Amino acid sequence: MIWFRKRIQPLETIARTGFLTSLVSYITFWLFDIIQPGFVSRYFSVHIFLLGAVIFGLWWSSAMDDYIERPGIQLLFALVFGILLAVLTFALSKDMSGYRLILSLISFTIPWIVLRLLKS
Amino acid sequence: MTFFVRLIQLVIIVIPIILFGWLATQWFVPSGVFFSSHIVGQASPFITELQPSSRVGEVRMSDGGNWEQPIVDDPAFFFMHPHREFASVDVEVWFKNDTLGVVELGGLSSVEPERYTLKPLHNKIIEDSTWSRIDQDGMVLLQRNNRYESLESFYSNPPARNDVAVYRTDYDVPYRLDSYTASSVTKTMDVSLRGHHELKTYIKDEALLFDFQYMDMNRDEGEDSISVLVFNEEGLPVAEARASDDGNISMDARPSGLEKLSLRVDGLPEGVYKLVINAPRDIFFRKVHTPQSKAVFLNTVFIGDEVAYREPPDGTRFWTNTERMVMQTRHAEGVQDVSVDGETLSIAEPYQWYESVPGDGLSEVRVPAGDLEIVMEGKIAFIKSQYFNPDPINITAYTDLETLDVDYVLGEYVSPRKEGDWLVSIVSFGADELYAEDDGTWKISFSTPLVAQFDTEVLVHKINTWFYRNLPKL
Repeated sequence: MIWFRKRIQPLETIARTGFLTSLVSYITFWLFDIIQPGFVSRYFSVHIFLLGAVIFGLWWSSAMDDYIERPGIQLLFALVFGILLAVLTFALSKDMSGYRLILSLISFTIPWIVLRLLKS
Repeated sequence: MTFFVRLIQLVIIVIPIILFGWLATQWFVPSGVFFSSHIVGQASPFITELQPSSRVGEVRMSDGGNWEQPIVDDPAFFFMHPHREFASVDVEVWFKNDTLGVVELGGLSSVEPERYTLKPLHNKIIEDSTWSRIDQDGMVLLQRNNRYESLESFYSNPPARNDVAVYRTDYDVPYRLDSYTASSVTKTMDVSLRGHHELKTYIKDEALLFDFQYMDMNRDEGEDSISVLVFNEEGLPVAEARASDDGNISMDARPSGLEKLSLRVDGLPEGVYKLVINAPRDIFFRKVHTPQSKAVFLNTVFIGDEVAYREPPDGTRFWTNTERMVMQTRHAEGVQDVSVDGETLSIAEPYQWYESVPGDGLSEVRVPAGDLEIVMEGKIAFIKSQYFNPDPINITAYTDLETLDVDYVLGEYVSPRKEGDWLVSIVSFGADELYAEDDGTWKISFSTPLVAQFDTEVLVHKINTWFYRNLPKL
């Protein structure tokens, strides 16, 4: 067996760090702004981190040579975001009465559809 | 190479951490003081633009290169949105006022009824006076003839009460009616008064006695309990009477019968007593019975409608010493012709404030149909013989100091400082003086009486705020 030391791809590493940091920051700042309205949005838009995530994400995808398929993590993310979307839809659709449950279920399926589209 | 990559990674990760730390600092205000500045025309998350647009002009650039916005009608206001709880706030206003006698800043302190705690920004009556002036510890004393050398000598040997006019302060020399004699004859104020009111009465060798007959009209949801608190001249509570809800907390508009709340306090020393009648808008006082020879309501009265009490309504009549009052009705049934000293003031449509400036002396006001909110600074007697004015003369925008029959003016007032062309004044509000909406918003209003009548304007350039929080003791 021959052991190779993993070589650092500088641009990919930076782009990945930027993407993950932006994504985690976006979720964290956004949650804090929901818990305490104005915590962030009084000073700047929380979506600035989303913009960062998109830019770094695009960069990362173009700089990436190969990647490891992790279906378990993908399914976990789809499940978490599906539940989150369903809860948000249910909470924000009080006026939709009879359609509320159906809309929540449709919301739950969106991450799965997106995942399927990305994989295809 | 690896080092630089790691360094860039570190920078990318540290940036949001620093940002979060900064936001947390803004939120927790560890220093105890949070500063925010607002120049007119520029957005601020803490202070809104001046409103409404009908009472303020467009933001414009002054000759000196500063943004300014004119206030052209009264009152203009703005909202403050503190991002957390604060114990107090200092509001610094940069403004210009060349014409108006009094410019004040008022914090909305209650909404039912709407009341403001007014504090001075600029008093040109005091500023322009040729009387001798002493400024000391936030107080000002004007003297027609220079008799006192300091405020200490003024306080230690004060002049007679009717020789002094006051501005936003109290005068501690007690009010006494030497020729007063108590009456045993009960008098009845036959007037429908809606909700919260305040009145003053004079007591000397007699019991304080008030019987309130009222109805719970059940037009709003919730309990409608009443409390009447009695305060002495030191502002201390000395007695209280309470009545609970009629048992109907719905908003079915089914009125209770005529209920009665009695207040009797014996053994009070001679003096002026203030009654604060705390009641929600559902409570309509229909009659007030009292043997007291002197009793006047203060500043604001809400003459209620008489639906389900007596129809057609009888309305009411009262006497007041106010120099200016405004009134409005909220219903079409309240449209009527009010008479002020024989002159007609038409209340032509609901939700429109109408102004009357009766001038000096006691004015007689007839309200034929009731259902009218009347706001003023003055005393109101529903029985003429009960009228008295236990408070010193107040300096208002309508005051002509030279013709006023006083020799002294005592005020809690500090002259604005000059910053270039601007006058700069600071007023402080405690959080307990401000009514906070559910999201903590405070409403602050400019009081600029006569600004429209004089066809003039007050210019505002900048509003700085310092929010103070009580830090926990370590």
